[in-house]
Formats: sequence, C-alpha cells, structure tokens
Amino acid sequence: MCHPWLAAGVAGFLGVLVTRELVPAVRHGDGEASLDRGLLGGGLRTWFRARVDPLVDALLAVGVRPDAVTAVQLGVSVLCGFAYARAWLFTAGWLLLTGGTLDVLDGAMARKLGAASARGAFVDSVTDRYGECAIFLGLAVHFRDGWGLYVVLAAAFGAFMVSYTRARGEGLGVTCTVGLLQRPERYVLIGGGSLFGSLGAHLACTPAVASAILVAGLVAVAALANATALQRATAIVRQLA
Amino acid sequence: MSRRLPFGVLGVFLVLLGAGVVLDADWVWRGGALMIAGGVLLALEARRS
Repeated sequence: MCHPWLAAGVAGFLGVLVTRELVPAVRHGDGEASLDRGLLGGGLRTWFRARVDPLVDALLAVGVRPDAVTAVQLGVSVLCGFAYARAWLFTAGWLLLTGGTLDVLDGAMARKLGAASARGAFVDSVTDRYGECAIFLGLAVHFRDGWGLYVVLAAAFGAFMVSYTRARGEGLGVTCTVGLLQRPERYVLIGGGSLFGSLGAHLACTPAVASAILVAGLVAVAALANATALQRATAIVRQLA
Repeated sequence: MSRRLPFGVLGVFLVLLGAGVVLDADWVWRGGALMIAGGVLLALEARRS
C-alpha cells in the first residue's frame, strides 16, 4: 500500500533538516570534497562530529562503554540486512545511516575516555566488516532475481577492497587513508538511495521506483569504491617502490 | 561531561524510524507511535534551546 501524503511529509521534514543543518555546514565548511579526502568534504565531516559530540558525552555520562556501542552497531547492521532482505527499503536505509553513526560514536567515546587501543581498533574493524557483510547479504537477497545482484556483488567487492588495500598497506608499514569513496560516503550513497527511492516509490505509487533509485546508488558505489581501491593500491605501490 | 540528553538527535531518529515502519511494513499504529514519541522529543529540544 502506498502512503503518498506521509512520503511527502517525510520529504518535507528531510528538506527542512538539510536546509537548516547541512547547507550551512557545506557553505562554512573547512574543506572541499577532494580525491584524497572523500566526496563528503571537510565541512560535512566537521558538522557530523559536532552533532555526534553531545551523544558521546551523554552515553559516557550514563556509563555506556565503547564496546557496547560496537556490539549494538553490529546488531543494527544485521537488522539493516534483514530489512533489505524483506524489501523494507526506507527502514533499511535509516538503519544503515544509524549504524554508520554508531561506528563513529564508539571510536569517539574510546578517544574521550583515553581508552583507544590496538585491541579496540581491531575489534572495531572486524565488527565493521561483519556488519557490512550482513548489509550486502541483505541487498543480495533483495536483488536476487535481477541484474541488480551483479551490481551488489561489485559494490561489495569494491567496499571490501577499499578496506583490504589499507589494511595490507599498513601491514607492510605504509599508511594510506586517501580515497574518494570511503565508508561514510558508501553509507550516504546506499542509505540515501534507499531513503529517497522509497519516498519516490510512495510519492509515485510505483514500487519499481525504489529499487531503480537504490540500484543507481549501488552503481555509483560499485564504480567509485573499486576506483578508490585502485587509487589506494597505486599510492601504496608508489610508496613501496 | 554533559548529562544533557540530545533530544533533537533522538527525536529525528524516532520520527524517521516510525515513518519507515509505516511506509515499509504498513504498521500504521506502531509507526505512528514512534513518530509521535520523536515529535515530543523534538518539541522538548525546541523548548530547551
């Protein structure tokens, strides 16, 4: 059943949020989007950190530990994958963005507590990969009957290669954090594609619109994530030469 | 360290989660309840600031 009035209301709500929050952040940001810093640019990252900071304080004040947030993030990612598999695209997109926020929260909490450690960084990275795996698995189930499945596989491969090239480089003593499409950008493209696809489908009362817009986001992730992995590989090869 | 709960962020989270529950699963009452709870938190945040 389609809900065009609710979709219009939610679109308006998101429009107000973007106008009030994101537009000033982009205008007064301290950095443009670039090949090295990522598509989102410094302004949006600074805005996001400022928004997350009160949450970090509130959670630490009530005694929540960073490890607990990491565990909740994994749970949210699994729920997100489940939502994609059930074709609940708006909920899945929102859970994806929530999981991305929790991913930032645990690291920020550990740093504020002075408890940032190699163990924590390792657990966080492993949890992130399992979380991403659950999300891409859900997307694969959603697109199992069409060519969208190949796009999901290409996007998943690119996403894992972005992480792998950095981890392998660090294993060889080379730090490489450059990249056009890093994890926050992936979350925004796939999550945004899910949210706006679902809203478009309800506004037009045409369910196919949702998958079409989500596939467009996934095509962008597939192309840009693999380009980022190659960008990192090239940078690491140059440093090792 | 602040004990002030960030009602605004939680409000936006609940409003959009509720909207998703209605749009995706057609659970109007459950989604509506989440949206109302989020709206109350947003109103509290607006009163506070």
